[in-house]
Order: sequence, then structure tokens, then C-alpha cells
Amino acid sequence: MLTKRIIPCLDVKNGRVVTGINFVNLKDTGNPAEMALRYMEEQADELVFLDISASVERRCTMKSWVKEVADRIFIPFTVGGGISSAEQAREIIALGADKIALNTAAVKNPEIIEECAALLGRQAIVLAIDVKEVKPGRWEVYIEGGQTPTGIDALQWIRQGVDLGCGEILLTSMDRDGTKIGYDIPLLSQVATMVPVPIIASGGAGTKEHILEAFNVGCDGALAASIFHFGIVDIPDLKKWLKEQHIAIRYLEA
Amino acid sequence: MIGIIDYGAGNVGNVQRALSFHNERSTILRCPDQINNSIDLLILPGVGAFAPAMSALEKEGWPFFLSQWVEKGHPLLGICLGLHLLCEGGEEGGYRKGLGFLEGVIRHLGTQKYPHMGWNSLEWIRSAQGLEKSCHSNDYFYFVHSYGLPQTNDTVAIARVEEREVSAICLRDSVAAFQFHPERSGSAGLSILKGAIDLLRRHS
Repeated sequence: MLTKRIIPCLDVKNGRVVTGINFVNLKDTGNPAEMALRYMEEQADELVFLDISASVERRCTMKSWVKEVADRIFIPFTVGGGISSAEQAREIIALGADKIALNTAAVKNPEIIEECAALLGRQAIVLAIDVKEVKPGRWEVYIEGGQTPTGIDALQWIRQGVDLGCGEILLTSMDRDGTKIGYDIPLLSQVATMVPVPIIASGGAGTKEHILEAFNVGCDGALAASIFHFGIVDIPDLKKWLKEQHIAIRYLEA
Repeated sequence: MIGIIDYGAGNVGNVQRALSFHNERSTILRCPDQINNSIDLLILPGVGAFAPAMSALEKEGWPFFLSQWVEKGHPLLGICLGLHLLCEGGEEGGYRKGLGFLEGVIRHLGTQKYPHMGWNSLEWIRSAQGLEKSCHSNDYFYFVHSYGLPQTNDTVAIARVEEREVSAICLRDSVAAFQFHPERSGSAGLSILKGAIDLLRRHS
């Protein structure tokens, strides 16, 4: 049986993993490859790395840390952050990443989704979307690290992204991000049954119950950052508990 | 020495790194001319679409070479799209003939959600010549594909996706194939990869 996925997210700046709240007070928490290895050993199902360096620095450092992660781990990982051409996407996959995440560039130029899917296969293309609820039941897409509203309706953009060829949706609620009050369940429950591709819930996870909620409304994966980095939720404990709640999960007794 | 066929579809580096983990020396091959006597096993990896991958193999003369290789009983291991290409044909983007070393035709999974992406368990349906012993009953493997092989006479293990079944491992003489990515399936994947290599070598 296909299992639900637990996905730690790591922000990378200048080749180091950083954590902070809303991109301020960033603290250096380690080397990407070493943290990836630790998460692999703790039974994370896959990893997402988002490079938040300024664009000039990003091109230089990405090559070394992406390759180092690929050299060390034997689970799938996604790389995102500032990817703006199919050629850049191809370079990252060639370094050993399994998937690339598109965000701002895809909104500005939706054809990039088609180009990347044609070049790398749709299974390698994750469409990352940051949204804010503008009125009950309506969510707006934001780009450029959540700084710029686009006026685009999130549900419409998700449908378009899937039509253009993305293989997965990583959906982040900016209202919930960093709050630890739980994922945006009304949003996720609509999206999970709306499109055929897997949906990864993001933004707001604070407890293991929040992750269960996302799976119960049909999400395929649950992404979180700080609760895993700071040990608030321990991944093996979480997976054992989810299994007890009858969620299909990959869990091996230590 | 293991030869990894690189025809531009997917990442051969990750397969090579998984082999290095087992201290298996490997080399990346772009065309059959690069094969020498030290190579005793070939791996056909790959992600992407069936038809362009088949064209890429044809361009370098792989189908003819591989037919002879398999006819002589030399070992060949397919991974993911590699499994697809080893079959009789594929329906992805219109019917296209495959290499024909394994029985069956690749079809869309027909599931509500696709790709079939994530970790799934295996169900062994017939004897796999001891390959079963290289993993545990509660192991999971990483799958990512929208097309797959329905169960055939070569299928030794299946995976269940929604209400359907798809071939997860095929074996026939000196040919073996995985639908999942052993190089992406953690320690269980590394172990079954080693198991398949040992099995194929015993066979040849």
C-alpha cells in the first residue's frame, strides 16, 4: 500500500541550513548533507531544500551542496529556490536531485512548467505555491518569497499548473506558516480531491495531530521545518503514532 | 565491473553512488563500443517517457547489442523506465515497440492519483530465486511512475496502487527489473539492489 510521506524542509543560505521565523533572525543550524543524513536515518520519507540565498550567491553554492547531499543520502530530495529556466532545472537534476520546485518563475512564465516537464518528466516537477486567504474560501497566490501578491486565485493556478505538467503540488499557507496552529485544512481538503497529482501540505504544523489532519483530508505528504529541526516532533515517534491511527506509513521499529 | 547505460534519461549518478556503497565498481556507457571484457553486468536506469527513451537507445545501437547480450545469458538489470523499455512495448504517447526481453506491454496505471509517487510495500507472488531474502516483509521502496506493467509471467512481486496492481519486480533468465528506485529507497533499496546483482551474477 502506498504510504503517506513525512517531509522535513530545510532552508539553505550560502550553503548552510538556516532556521528562523518569517525569514528573520536566521540561525545557522548545520551542513545540508549532514542534516539530510540525520533525517534519512530518522526515517524521513523525502526532503525538500529551498535555497534562499541572493541569486548571485545561489548559482555558486548550489553546485557544491546539492552534489554533497546526493553523495550522502539514498532517499529522494527536491531542490527549489530561484529556478527560472529549464536549463537551470536540468543542472540541478544532473547534480543528483530527484525533483525541482518552481514557484515565482512559473507564475511569471507558466510555459516553464511545460518546458521542465518535457525535459525532465513531470514526476520531477513540483509546483510550489504560497497562498494567503483573502476572504473565506478564497486564496490568493503570492510570489517572491511571499512578498508580492499576484491577484491570481490559488485553485485556478493549481488546475493550470497540473494541466501544464507539474507532477506534484507543494501548497504553503502563509497565514499559517510559523504559527504552529495547524495546516489550512479547508484549503487542503478542497485541493486534495480537485487534481490527480499528489498534494503536499505545508505551513502551520505544530503537533502530530496536525499532520494526521492533513492526511485525513487526502494530502499525500506533510511538510514541516521547525518542529523537526528543534525536536518538537520526533519523526520515528510521529510515524509510530500515525501507524497506530491507521495511516499507511513507512515505519520500522528501531 | 558494472556498466550503466546513459541515454540521457535521468540521473545515472545516483545509481553509480548506490553501487559504490557496495564497493561495486561501475562505469557509465554512452554507446555499445565502450563495452570491454571487464564488464559483466549492465544496468539500464531511467526516468522520463518511453518513446523518446527508446529512440535514444536506437540512435546508439543499443537494441541490437542488448539482444545479443541477453541471448548469450549475460546479466541485465532495468530500473523504473528501464523496466518499461525491457518489455514488449509501451502505450505512453502512442504504441511503441520495446526491447522485448520481458513479457507484457506498459500501460497507464489508470489510478485516480498519478504519478504513483512515494513509498510502497511489495507482495511476492512467485519464487524470486532467493531475491526475497534480501529484504524484510515490512520494507518499503520508492516508486515514481504514471505508467506501469500489469502482472505477467515474469512478475515476481507486485505493488498495490489504489485498487490496482502493478509489477514491482520482474525476473526472466538473466534479466531482472525493478519498477521502484532501489537507489532512492534507503537501506532496503541498497539491500535489494545488492541481492539482484548477486542473483544475476550467479545466473550468468
